[in-house]
Amino acid sequence: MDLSTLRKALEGERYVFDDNLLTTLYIAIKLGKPLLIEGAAGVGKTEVAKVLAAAYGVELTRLQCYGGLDEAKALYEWNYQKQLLSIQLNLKQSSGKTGGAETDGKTSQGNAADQAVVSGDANGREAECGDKRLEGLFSRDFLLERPLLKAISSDREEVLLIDEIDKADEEFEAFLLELLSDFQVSIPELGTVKAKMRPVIVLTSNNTRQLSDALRRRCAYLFIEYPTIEKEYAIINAKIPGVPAKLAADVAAAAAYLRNNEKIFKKPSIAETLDWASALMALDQKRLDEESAAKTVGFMLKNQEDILEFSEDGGFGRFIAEQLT
Amino acid sequence: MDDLLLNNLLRFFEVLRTAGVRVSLSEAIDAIEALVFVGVLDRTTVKAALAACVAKSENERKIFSECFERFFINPLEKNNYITHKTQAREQRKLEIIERASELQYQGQELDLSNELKEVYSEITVSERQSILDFLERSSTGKNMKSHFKPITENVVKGKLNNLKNKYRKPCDHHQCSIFYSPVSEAGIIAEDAEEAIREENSLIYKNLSTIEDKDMPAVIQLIRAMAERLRKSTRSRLRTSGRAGLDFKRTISSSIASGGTLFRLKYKRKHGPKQRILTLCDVSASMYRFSGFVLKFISCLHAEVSSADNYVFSTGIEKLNIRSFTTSTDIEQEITKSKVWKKGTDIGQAIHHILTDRFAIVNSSTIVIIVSDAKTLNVSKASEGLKQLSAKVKQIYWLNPIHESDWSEIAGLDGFKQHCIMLDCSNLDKLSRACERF
Repeated sequence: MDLSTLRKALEGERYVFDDNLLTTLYIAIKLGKPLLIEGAAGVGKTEVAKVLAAAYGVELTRLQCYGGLDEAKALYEWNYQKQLLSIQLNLKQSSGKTGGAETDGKTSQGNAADQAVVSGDANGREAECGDKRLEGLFSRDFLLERPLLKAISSDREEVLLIDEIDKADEEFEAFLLELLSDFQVSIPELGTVKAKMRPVIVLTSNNTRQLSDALRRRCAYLFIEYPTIEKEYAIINAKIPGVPAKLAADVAAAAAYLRNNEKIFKKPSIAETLDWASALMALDQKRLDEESAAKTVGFMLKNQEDILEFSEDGGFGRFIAEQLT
Repeated sequence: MDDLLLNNLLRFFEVLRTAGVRVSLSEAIDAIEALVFVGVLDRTTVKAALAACVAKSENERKIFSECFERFFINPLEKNNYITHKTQAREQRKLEIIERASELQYQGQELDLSNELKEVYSEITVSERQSILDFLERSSTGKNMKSHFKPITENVVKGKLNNLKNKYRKPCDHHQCSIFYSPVSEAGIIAEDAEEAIREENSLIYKNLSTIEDKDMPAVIQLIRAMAERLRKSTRSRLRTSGRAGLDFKRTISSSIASGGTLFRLKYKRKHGPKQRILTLCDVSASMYRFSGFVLKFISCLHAEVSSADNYVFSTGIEKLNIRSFTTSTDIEQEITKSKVWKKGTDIGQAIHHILTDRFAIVNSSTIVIIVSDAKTLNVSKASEGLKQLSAKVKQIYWLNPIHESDWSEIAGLDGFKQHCIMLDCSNLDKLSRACERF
């Protein structure tokens, strides 16, 4: 995929982006490097992977990280139940065969020497069979593929999203290093599984903890900031069809105003701006006014302390007086 | 790629490394390869491609951007810029030396370090005049002998050392004096980029003692972010490691349904002990200049981590029953009214109280946060107390509002550092970096 095709693909998904994002994404794909995206919550980090998957025409393979996530949930797990069933079935089959051999033995009691030879051969064959069955228990048939293994085992180019990597434990982050650098994973019973087709890997982080330098070194890096008023206006227009132009502009300006207010701790995200614009549309607003903004402030500010701080600071009345009149 | 371009890129990586961006060899190779894909005709694309490969954090992005804009300019313009910078520095050095030469005792120039000479050149006219007046009085006073020079010199050094914090440049390096300024192209560009970032974010590089009321919202945001990080990290530590060993009892009882076959294995869940945070905030007279920060620290920490035990101390110690207060102003008023407000400091006594108080929860799941400048009476008692406390608790973090380069001047501080993680939080930038350690 060249730069212009990628641009068209992203535009086709109605994704609003800048040249910096496009170039970084293109470089990551071309160099075959995972892309680490950082930024505040709700700036559209996850959306990059979704749009990329849509552009590639593949389903997004997603691994949501959380504290305590381990390789059993991320990479693979042996299907214990299936293994047990297989053992039970094999036991029944082999006991059936052994029973048959005993009956044959009774009918040919006259030839003890022959029986000893047959019995010795049968034991040898059974031991060999047992080893093969044991090996079979740890084959791909009994492997439950989790997102990471699924992504690298695929025959076509997949898009793998490892979302909110900062929420996973440091041990898991270290475990990911092999996958991110060599696109392979080691399964003790099976050996090393190499990617047939290198997946496009996107990692996102809200920066709640510092990621290791080792992980950063293996990735191309993109930092997404809160959008400018113009960009957010474009996003509102792209995502909410039929939104009145003035309302979209007011909402974008109000969102920027809220984010620039140092007293507000939880800054509103783009998704919240979109929800707010939809709520205002539902109230038949053509422009933002103080009353409707105050009624719907809960879409933008999600804790009481921030709402109080904002109202003490003049609230939407001050914003409208300063910027919309 | 031609040699000139390659050479330019390698020099640029050198600039980045000097400015603090760790560019590894593999990252450098990636960056060069990236340019092969995007070409070098469009400046914005080149910048984005290089940044994607070598600048791997928000902070590194800022440094990268400043360095890029200074490095990739017309060669003639760059030569002029480097020459101008070098000349300006030499000129400034001469000015500092000349200015310091007026500091004399009975006609003899005082023996001051370059750093103090620089401080002298930066202080206000009235502050300078005050020192000159003192020297004049000392030189011409009755019975003032020439061998009194070292005494006079020490007084001047003391005055300048006190003023140093006020005029200190927020610098990461141990020595940020102009006398240690780099002379190479990489050094000059890197230092200039660092300076530009500092100017842009002047607030976060401001010394905590000089923070004004108008800056408080930013301070509050940082402390809240730190507290939130602390709360999250203690919570995630609880969940870490998923499951423990096999739970035989539950496995066997659930296997009854499948005729005794151990069809579904049940594991024990790991439960870490509930972690507690204990804060010890120094509100003595020496910490008074940081009081704005300390008060906000306590009230914000309480807002985010409500289960924390908070103590304020100076020569004595008091537990704050924060739950009985509704607003941060109430908490701050309570602290300023307390008996320990603006007294001397006895860290050893405070720790002894914590260790012997039966209501203080001090065990292997306690994280202790001390906010203090470490200037204390009875250093050996404090060090011994800290040693005992560190043996009992999970970790001790010590937030010190004094600049790290001045720690060597604080008695006993090296001993304290052996028993805790001491973090420099002399400005908001340092505080923010300290937060990342939690």
